[in-house]
Amino acid sequence: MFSAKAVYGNSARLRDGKVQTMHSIWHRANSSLTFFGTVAAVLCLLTTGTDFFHESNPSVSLKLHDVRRLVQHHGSKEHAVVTFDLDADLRDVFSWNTKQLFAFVQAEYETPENRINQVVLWDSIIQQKPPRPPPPPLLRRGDKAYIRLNAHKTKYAFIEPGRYLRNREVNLTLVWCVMPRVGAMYTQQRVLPAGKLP
Amino acid sequence: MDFVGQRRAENVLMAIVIAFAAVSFVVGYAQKDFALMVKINGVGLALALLVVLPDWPFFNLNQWKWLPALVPEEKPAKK
Repeated sequence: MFSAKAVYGNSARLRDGKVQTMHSIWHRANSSLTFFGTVAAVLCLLTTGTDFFHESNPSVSLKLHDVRRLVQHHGSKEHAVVTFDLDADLRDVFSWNTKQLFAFVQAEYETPENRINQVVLWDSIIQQKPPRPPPPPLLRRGDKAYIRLNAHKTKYAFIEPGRYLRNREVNLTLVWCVMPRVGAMYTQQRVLPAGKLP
Repeated sequence: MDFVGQRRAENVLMAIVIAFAAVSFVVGYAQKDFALMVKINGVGLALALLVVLPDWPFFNLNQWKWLPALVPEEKPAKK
């Protein structure tokens, strides 16, 4: 498979043409480990290739539960205190090559000043439960990939640096970044209109 | 190791590593278990090292026959 002459040149060749490639234990150890490394790299490429065929269509329900306050600070920043309901089953997004998901909820709206404004309200790192042994009912309750939040307070403040939150049409978006064990990360999202702020 | 043995060692190394890599990928993909793939690969590497690193007798079956050592000739006296 590998021509000894191409790899070793003439230095390992005896005068009568015989070639020594594995004559010492160090030689053999080196060949073994580097060959194993190359094969492992090929396996990683194949593994990340399987993600290309991985399809999932998680069900996501995301809405504003309540707008508790909408205040203005110092005449120039508006702060909305909201709670939201999130019901997302992201368990199918995990493939064998997925290490964790990074999911976050952002509010999107358009103002006369800027066409796109996005504010992150909540995020979470979701790691997979090991597939085996079969999880007892107790473990399944703790599966973070099945997100169920009711009237959940936002982790981060919903602050708009202008004065545009009043009566604003807002979309809530759930975005999840799929972080692989090997290969490239990809991102998917669901945009759900959430109505108007008061 | 003799020359035939060295060639065989290299072939055995590649065969074992590639075979275990293929099996590990298929089994890991079927069981949706990345760690399992890594473990099977590790076993394959261990087995390959076990077979190839030590100078086993079956790598020394074709001893190269060297010519008998020459006695250095007397240098002919010049002139």
